[in-house]
Amino acid sequence: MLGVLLLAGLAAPLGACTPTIKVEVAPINIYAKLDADVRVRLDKEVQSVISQNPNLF
Amino acid sequence: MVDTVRTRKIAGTLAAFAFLAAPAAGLMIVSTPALAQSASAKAAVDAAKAQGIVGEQGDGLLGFVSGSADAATTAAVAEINTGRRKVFASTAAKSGVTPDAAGEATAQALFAKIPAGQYYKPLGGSWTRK
Repeated sequence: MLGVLLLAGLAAPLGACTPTIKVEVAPINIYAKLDADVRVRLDKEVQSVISQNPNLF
Repeated sequence: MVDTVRTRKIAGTLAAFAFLAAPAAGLMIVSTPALAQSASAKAAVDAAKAQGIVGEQGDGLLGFVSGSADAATTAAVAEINTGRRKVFASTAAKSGVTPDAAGEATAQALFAKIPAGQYYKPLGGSWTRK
């Protein structure tokens, strides 16, 4: 009984100390973080896609 | 009790049909020659852009400058955005980037083309009149 109480007493503060981690995923700048050569390839592809889909862009 | 079982069977059959029908409907949308439809959607979106109702967003999709629009404009925007998402996915696959990155790259190119007076919204920013 005493053990249970002790455990409960230990567990409560441990629970209270569980760190809250806020993960914020910024939707910004995925493009800016690309490698330069990947970006060049992507930009070329984007230009052709825009001209090939005049009804979408 | 028998009724319950029968009802369940019917419900099960309906569910099975719904399951079959949903992908079929999806296929129909894909296989429909969307060109003519898209042309009218594009015209509606262009008109809405000229009125400052619709603008280009930093994610490469169209958005509503004041949050909403009439049903026809909303439908046109949804249609074009659906088509754009597909394009971003294929661009992403070809370029080895994520679809989001492809959308952002497309937005950069589109921002440059926006005529003066129309609206755009950079990622993390607010609607801006060019």
